[in-house]
Amino acid sequence: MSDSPLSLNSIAWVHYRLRGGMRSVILQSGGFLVIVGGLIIAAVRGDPKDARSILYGWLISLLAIQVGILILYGGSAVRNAVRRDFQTGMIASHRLMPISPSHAVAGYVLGACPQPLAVAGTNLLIGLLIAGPARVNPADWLAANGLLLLFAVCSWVVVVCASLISAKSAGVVLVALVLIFMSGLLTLVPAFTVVCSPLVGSNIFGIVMRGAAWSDVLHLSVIAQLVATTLFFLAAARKYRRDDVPAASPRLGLIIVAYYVAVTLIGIHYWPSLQPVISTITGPLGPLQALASLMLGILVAFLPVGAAAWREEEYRRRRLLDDPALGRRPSNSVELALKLAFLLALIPAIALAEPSLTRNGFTLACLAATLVPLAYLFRLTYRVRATAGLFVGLWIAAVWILPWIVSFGVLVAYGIDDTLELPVAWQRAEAIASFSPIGALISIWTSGDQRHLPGLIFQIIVALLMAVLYHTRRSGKGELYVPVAGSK
Amino acid sequence: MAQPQVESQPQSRSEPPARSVLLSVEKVRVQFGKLVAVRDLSFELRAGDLLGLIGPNGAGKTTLLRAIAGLQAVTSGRVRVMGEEVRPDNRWFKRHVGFTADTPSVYEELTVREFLEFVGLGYGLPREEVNSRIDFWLQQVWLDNKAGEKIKTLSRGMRQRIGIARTLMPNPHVILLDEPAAGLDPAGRVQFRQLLCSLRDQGKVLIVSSHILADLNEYCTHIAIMAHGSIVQMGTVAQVAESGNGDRCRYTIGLVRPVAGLTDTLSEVAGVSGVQVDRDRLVLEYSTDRARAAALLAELIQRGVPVASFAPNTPGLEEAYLRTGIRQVD
Repeated sequence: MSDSPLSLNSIAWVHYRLRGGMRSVILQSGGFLVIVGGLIIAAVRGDPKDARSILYGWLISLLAIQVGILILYGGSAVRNAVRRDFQTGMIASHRLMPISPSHAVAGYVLGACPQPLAVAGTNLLIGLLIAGPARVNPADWLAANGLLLLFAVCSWVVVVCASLISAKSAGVVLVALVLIFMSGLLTLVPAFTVVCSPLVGSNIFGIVMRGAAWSDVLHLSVIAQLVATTLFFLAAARKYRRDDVPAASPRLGLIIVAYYVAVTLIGIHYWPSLQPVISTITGPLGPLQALASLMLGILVAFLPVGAAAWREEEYRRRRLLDDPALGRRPSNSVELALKLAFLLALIPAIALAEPSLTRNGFTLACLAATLVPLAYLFRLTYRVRATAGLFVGLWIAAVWILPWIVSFGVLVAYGIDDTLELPVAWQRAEAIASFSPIGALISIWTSGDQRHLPGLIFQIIVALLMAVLYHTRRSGKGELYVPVAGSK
Repeated sequence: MAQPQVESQPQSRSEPPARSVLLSVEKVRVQFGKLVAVRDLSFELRAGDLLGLIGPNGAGKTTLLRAIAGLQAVTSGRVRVMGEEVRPDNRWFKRHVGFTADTPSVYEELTVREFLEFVGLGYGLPREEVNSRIDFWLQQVWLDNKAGEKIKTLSRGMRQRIGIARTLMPNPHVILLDEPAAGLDPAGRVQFRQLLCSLRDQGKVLIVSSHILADLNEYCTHIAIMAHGSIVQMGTVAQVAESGNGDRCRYTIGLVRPVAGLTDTLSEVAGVSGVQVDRDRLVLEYSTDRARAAALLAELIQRGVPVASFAPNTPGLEEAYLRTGIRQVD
């Protein structure tokens, strides 16, 4: 048996073996050294007079290649390791073993990554050799690679978590990452920029090219990544332990939302030094970022609300069956929704330094009216389905998007109705849009009057109706239905 | 070869006292949608008990085994192994429960020895002990000459044996085997029976799900017949074999030659039911009373049925199972 350190973790050991072990480590890193080293030597020999600029160009390219090796190659290796265990059914075999979930999650990362790490290590050494002749401080090259490695570890843990949730979702995560980089979302949601700052904003290329000193925001980014890695690690461990429960427990979900609020506030505060070079949006971004982050925060809050609702429904079923292992009553999803509403309301209140009790009060009311009915919707859904994605999607379409479509219709009608004046049409459109939480929040924070009140009252009525619907549809034992994934 | 040490440093609670309750299933229910796969089952098994689980496909046998192993979340109820509740976050019980699925999962690219090394590491066995245990169990499942071969080159029966070796590697106290003999050849089944008897005699608890009732008859101490998620009958082998053997039993009647219209003829005889005719062989249900059986034989002959042999079926598991009237679950 191998005495390698990997043998301390059985899952790491087996995946390292399955990926070819030391032989493939040597082959891949050796192959990389020969090809890239050969290309660099050929390029320098082709134009020896311009060796410095050629090597400088290669150094930047090596950094870009390093991103590919660590993020894409490493990420796909981790994803494939988890997927292999699902496809072969070995995940059940692992779960029979007295392996702690954290041990298993670490095993997937450690077992899948020796080959990518070996290639990355070779790349690092090549860069270190040419950094001096390219007149780049080797310490900067090492610092950039260190930051990138930290970010890569974070991304690997995210991929393990996504793969344990669903084999497809890991691919979705990779696509989403690319889309986030390509879209303006980085600008609108500063939390992403904080976490991704080794690649955007205050990034590793700046460190190598300009010898940029470590800024405060980079320190905060490192801390944010470490916290994100821990949170996703815990979620992955939970999903490994039991695959029929949501990845985030209500408490972990609450911590994730609190983390998101904190990172968002950091991002908005440090935006001038964070702003990505590729950002195309200029001007005062504070209100826009606060509102966009708030809306995304509502979506993040679905995690704990859904998890709490799931637990409540499981508890209800067990109680109906007089379960001898009933356990304690879980936390109330509606109470949790109210806590989350308060937490999210801090984003505009702090980011925009808004002392107005009216605005903050309306924001809190709107967030509560958004999350409380969702808690009931999740609970009703979990009575008949194992997953709530479809019903929640329909809910969002009906309650969030439909008012916007009607509002858009009013503006279109303005174009064909000569008797309607633009300000009147605009006011009507805004009032209708405020029937949606998004419209209400925008109206609360952008207009001085109370145009959002009818919409807000409507949302509160919807929340009350959902409460009435839930409490009048208490099912008995005869109707007991236990949803399973893929059913009904 | 002597069996390897179970624990390198035995803990007091790791070694159960003789005949203590090792497995307790309390009101366990597993429900998928409206389908109740396992319906509020409760039973206890003591050290040395070997329970044979029989029932049609879809009766809930595999789900029950998975629930006991902690692989299937229960809708309600609880399972205890040596007093410890089976929960996903309880790692202690996992050292003491082994489960082999009907088609065991393996890493096909590994050799048999590498795969078992991985299992040994997963159970935290001391390195020096892993190799001795691998040698021991490979010998027990008759794969000692295949240790260096890749699993993908092996037959289904051999993979089944690897699955059994994987389950037994950590030397668990509760062993759950789902259709373990399905892929084994006749010689393998005989050896497998001996292995199970040996484990039973060591004071382990075993639950074996199987359709091969003749095998179960030989090595089980207890039998449970499952249907629609419930246990229809459970007891010692003798109890189950004798159960329902009250005032009626099945008779097998050999005929001199096939007779046409025999079912109609027999339908006229009072007390006869469950008639099955197969060319020159006839099975029917009738009173166990010897005098009445003799009268039935006389009446058959009187009605012109060419009887060559007439005998009540020997009480056994197959008889007990068939008497429950369980049909295949769709």
